[in-house]
Parts: sequence; structure tokens; C-alpha cells
Amino acid sequence: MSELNPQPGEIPVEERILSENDRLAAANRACFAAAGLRVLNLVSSPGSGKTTLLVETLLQLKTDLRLAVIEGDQQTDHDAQRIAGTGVPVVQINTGQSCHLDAALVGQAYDQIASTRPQLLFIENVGNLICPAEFDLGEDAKVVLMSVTEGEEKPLKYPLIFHLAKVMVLTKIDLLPCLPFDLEKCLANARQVNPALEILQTSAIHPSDLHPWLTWLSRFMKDG
Amino acid sequence: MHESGIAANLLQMAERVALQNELKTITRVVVAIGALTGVEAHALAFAFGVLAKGTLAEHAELVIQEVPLRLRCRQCECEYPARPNAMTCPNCLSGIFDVLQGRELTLKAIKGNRDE
Repeated sequence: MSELNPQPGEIPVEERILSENDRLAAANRACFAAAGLRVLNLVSSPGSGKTTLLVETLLQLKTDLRLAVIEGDQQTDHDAQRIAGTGVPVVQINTGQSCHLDAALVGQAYDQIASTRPQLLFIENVGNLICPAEFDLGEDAKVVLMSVTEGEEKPLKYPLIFHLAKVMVLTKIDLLPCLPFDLEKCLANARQVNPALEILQTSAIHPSDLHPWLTWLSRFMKDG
Repeated sequence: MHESGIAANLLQMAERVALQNELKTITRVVVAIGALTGVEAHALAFAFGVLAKGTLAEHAELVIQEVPLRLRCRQCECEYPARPNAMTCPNCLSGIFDVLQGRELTLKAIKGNRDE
């Protein structure tokens, strides 16, 4: 059994383990703010529909706003190619064995698209509900996505990311008639870990079902 | 497993503090991990053990203080223990709270030797 009490000769440190990432994230945040750029960090499990939602969102917004995307994946540039198909500037980050983006990677990626002077930057994190949660990237807000095929208990299984997110985008609601998904229970579970969480019900299949998300984005661009 | 990244950061910090204090070896690394963090103590200890090889902390004992989640209700102002997936106020059932403790991810202290 380890001795938990302080021992003689210990050197007190009291520093956050991720302080280096925090420092780089703060530098990113200052850089984004100076450029008048708003930044969202999109986090979800693999297959929740982040890229599909993003592609539809870009198509709807690109005539009104200068947009950019940073794509995080362990391998391949498949998602970046899908984003590039919309004409919006995109940088792919391959994290290799790492399961999340960090502030250093995002800072380097932003340098590659800064010249396009984006007003709204989407960072699509690696598909994973656990690892990205602790790593601040310098974003204005975290957006957590979950699809109705994932089960209503997901916010209780992965509480930290739902706790830290400003908004939750529930995706694939067009599938609800086919599923035994308890929508009310899911919303209650999400509010259990984050009472202030805004929850938007969306589907990227029918453009009209993106409306709650687009409305939220419009408000986010105006007043944060 | 992001604990490997966290362990790598932890080792860098511990080595930096050791060098500042002219330690030749690190014998003990004390960290605090809150309940509302994405860090699993066993995974962190495993990663630390692997990554410490060849560093000043190669033979260090990693001591993990697990910090339980504690909240303060903004409505009735009571303080209460909670679990990460059950954070509603037990007194007034409000869900608006401040986190008093449980978000720690902190290097608390190190100990070592100035001799080889």
C-alpha cells in the first residue's frame, strides 16, 4: 500500500499535468480571438455522423461565412476528402496511434489555413468520447454529438465529455421510427451530467432537420 | 489510451522539477486524479511504468491520490458528494452546481536523491 501522506524530503509541485497543453491551448485561443475567429471542437464516438453533419452544414453556410475545417483521424484522409468536396479549406491531421487531438497539433494545422481568414472553424476530433475530453484545443466550445443508434445511456457512460460540452447534437433522428430509442430518457441522462446542456435534435439526411443546429450556429456566431 | 500521453507529460514535468532541484534520481511521484476526469488510475500507472524506463524516474514509485467528486448546489447552496453520472443535488434536486473537487489532474510532489 502506497503511503499517501506527504513524506519528508518531498518537493511540492502542485501543477496541472496537462499544463503544457493548456498553455498552447491558451495561445491558440488568443490567436483565434485576435483573428475574429470562432472555433468549435466536435467530439463523438466513431460513426455518429460527425462528417456527414459537417458536410451538410458547410454546404448550407459557405455562401454566408468563411469556413474552415481541421480533420482529426488516426489514419487516412478519407474524411478530409469529403470535406474538400464542399470547397471549404480543410487540413487533415493524422494522429497515428494517438486517440485525440491536442493543442500543438491544432496550432500547426491552423497555420496552414490562417491565410484563408476563416470566420468559423470546425475541429473534427478523432472519433472517441473519452480521450479528447481532457485536451483543451483553444476552442470556444465543445460540441458533443451522439446518434440515436448509440443507446440512450451514452451520457451516463461517458459523463465527462457531456459535462464539458456546451451543446449536444443528437444525430440521425430520421431513424427514430425504426428504433426502440427512448428519447426522453436520453435527454434526461444528458441533463443529469450537464443541466445547462443545450440539446439539438437533427438529421443530416433531410436538410430541414438541420435547422436547430444551424440556428444554434447563427446564435453562436452573434453572441457566443 | 490517452493515459500514455498524460504519463509522458507527467514524466517530463517530474524530470524538469528534478533537474531544477539537482536530483539525480526520482524515487516518488505523487499525483492527484479527480473522479471527473478522463483518466483511469490503473492505465496511468501502467503507462508510467513503461515510459519511465530510461528516465530519472525509472525506479520511482507512482502514488495516485484519487479525489472524489464534490459539488455545491447553486440553488440551495448545499455541498454534496456525487458520482460523475449522478450529479443532481440530493437536497433540492436542482442540477445547477459548481464542481468543488474532482477535476484534479495534478502533479502534487516528487521526491528523489541528489546522489547517484
